[in-house]
Amino acid sequence: MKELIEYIAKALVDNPEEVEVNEIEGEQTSVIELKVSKEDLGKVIGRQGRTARAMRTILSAASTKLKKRAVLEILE
Amino acid sequence: MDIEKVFEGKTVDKAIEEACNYFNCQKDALEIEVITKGSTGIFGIGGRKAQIRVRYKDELSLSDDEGYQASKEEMSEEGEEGVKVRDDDKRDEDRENHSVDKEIPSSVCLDEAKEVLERLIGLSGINCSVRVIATQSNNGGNANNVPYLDIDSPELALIIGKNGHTLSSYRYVMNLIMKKRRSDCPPIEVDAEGYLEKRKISVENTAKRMAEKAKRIGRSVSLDPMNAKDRRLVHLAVKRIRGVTTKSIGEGPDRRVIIVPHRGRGGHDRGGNRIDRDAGRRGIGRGYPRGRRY
Repeated sequence: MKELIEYIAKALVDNPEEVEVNEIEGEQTSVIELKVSKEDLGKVIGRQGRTARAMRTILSAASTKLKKRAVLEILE
Repeated sequence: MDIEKVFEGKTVDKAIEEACNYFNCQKDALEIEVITKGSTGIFGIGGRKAQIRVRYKDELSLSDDEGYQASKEEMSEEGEEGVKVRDDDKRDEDRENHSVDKEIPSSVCLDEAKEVLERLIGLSGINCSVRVIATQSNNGGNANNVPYLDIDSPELALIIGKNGHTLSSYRYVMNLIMKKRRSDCPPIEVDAEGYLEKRKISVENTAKRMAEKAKRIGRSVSLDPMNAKDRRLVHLAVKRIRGVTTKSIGEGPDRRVIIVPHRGRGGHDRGGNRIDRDAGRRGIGRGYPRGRRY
């Protein structure tokens, strides 16, 4: 799941080297933290949060497959 | 009997679509002559409308004539409102509905998009294979011959998601990535084993059912929030039903279609895009006791 978010984020931003993804695994729920450079924040959020929403939707499909839950946090 | 008429639209395609709806027929049954192509202008300012002249080749004079009359009446009845409704969504649809785009993605684009999509789904831990469908027969939700991608997977349900949300998320992210890589790449449609067509039919059926319901109970019926493409399908499906009009309310992801029944002749709701503007007077909305409607 971490790789998935990393792939999407790196493909979308202008500074892929500044993309940082951490996965904090819990018993049932994983939290995936996404950090990008300040200028790229808009790119991973999108208009009206559309990109962020799409990433969360895809993430939930991926986590369903693993019979887990995952939350995507975009850190400023 | 041949019928000739001039249609206008934001783009030539929109105008053709308008004509098809008007005559209630396929594009093939029409002889189309483009008068002006139209341009969108800058930020929608200074745009010119596309104009086409259409000749309807009418073979089944009698039965089709009826349809023609009916749709003609409908057009005048719905008048500006009908046009306005579609204007509302046009912006979104131009952005979102790729079937309207006549731009054909190059094979390089398609192959790269295929790889991106496979990668996205693969990284989600789902097995799948993506094929490039070069020419579209009639199973992709749009009858144009625009190439698209088709996903096949043993876990199709997971990829499609509820109401196709996951599928459209994959498509959206894939197109975003493609746009970033090659700015010349037009949006590419993604289907999953004929899902788009199935979805189209189910949305249209829901729309018709809800329109009947609106007429029956004499109140506005609100549909679930939908994306621009589905909303457009609803508008088009309900347009042919007499006695109701459609509107879109809400913003962004919460935007939804409401179906408003006409209240008798001439007394129905026109103008204003908020449903509860004069809800009290018209008896539409919460808490109003049931009673005489027409």
